[in-house]
Amino acid sequence: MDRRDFIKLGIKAAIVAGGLSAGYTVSSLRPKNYYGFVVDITRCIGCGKCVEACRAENSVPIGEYRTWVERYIIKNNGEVMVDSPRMGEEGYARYPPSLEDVKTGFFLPKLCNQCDDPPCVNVCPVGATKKSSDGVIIMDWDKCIGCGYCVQACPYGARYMYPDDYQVKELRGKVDKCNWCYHRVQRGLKPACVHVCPTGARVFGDLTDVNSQVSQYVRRFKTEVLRPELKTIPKVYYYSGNIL
Amino acid sequence: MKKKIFCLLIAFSLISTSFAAVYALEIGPYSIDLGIIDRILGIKVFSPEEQNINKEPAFKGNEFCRECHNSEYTQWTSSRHNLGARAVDCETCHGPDRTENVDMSRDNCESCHADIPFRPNMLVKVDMDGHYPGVECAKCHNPHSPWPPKAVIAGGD
Repeated sequence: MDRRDFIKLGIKAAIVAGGLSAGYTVSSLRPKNYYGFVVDITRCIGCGKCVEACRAENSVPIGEYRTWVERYIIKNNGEVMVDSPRMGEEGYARYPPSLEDVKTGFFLPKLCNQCDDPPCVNVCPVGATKKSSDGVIIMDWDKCIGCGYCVQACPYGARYMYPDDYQVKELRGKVDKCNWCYHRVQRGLKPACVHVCPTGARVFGDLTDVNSQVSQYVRRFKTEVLRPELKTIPKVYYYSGNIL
Repeated sequence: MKKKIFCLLIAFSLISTSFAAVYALEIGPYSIDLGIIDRILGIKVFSPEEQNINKEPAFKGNEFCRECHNSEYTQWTSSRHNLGARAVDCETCHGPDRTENVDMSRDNCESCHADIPFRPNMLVKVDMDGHYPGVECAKCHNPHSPWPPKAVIAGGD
């Protein structure tokens, strides 16, 4: 092989390699699944089964919550009161609110919003939390050093730290968060809170699938996100119907 | 001699660019963890995805319960607790793998059916203080098929 042939071959190989890498980049930019979550607050009855189920499914330590339910009470003068006895885990039947001058109220389940532009990922000094290709923000506990910056950075209060007496020794002092039951979703199941919800107030599905219930909600109805002014682009959409 | 230096230079630049690439990928908000150093040293590394997937689901679903509890399942299928996709599933009341310890107290039914403020009217709301106070709900209502209730037990008004 003379020099000319060698250079020709090299150019051909470079073109093929470049094409392959370009194709890989394009395919990796379009994820197969991109999950979303809808909370229909017109259907939430405040029973707290989701909080209970989340604790059982994810071994959430006592006193910490990956998801919780809040009660919003709006008074006639526009004042908004929020309370959450035991974070809604026992339901609201035993905690009657004061009903003076009250215009309306509703139950509002909250969980990690799995933001498209997550502040928690940006502040982590060791890269221990990342956005998976499904759009779910997941923890890398092998890397987490437990500095708690992400707990501070999350504007939704969705993160907590494992206590020092947690049953899994390796996780003590590290940060945990809702991962939309990643282990269930990857096995084709719904997240635990969605699974146990008796009224269908929590809806989980693929945003790229036009026919999924989540897409239908987002496309057909007026849904809102929490704190849109922060531009974190949450993927938990709240449908309030005509409650407000 | 010149050729040797040239080769060394090329090798050095290749190595340095590869290190720079690894460094560039490792930092930044959306880091791609290549784990090259760990792999070279032979340390087993679990990706964040693997760490999050590596857990067995606790809630198994209605079909799993059906395998053994078929009669209860059939009862439930045609009941008011099963309204299609928005159903009260087995594990909503029973919890995961806890069939024996199901809470039969009024509190458990109350968590959904109590007539509390701001609760949507989509389900049967019961005035818990007025409706047979102190009597276990399951005395009259079979939880697997709550409506119509069983014949009222003599004396249990």
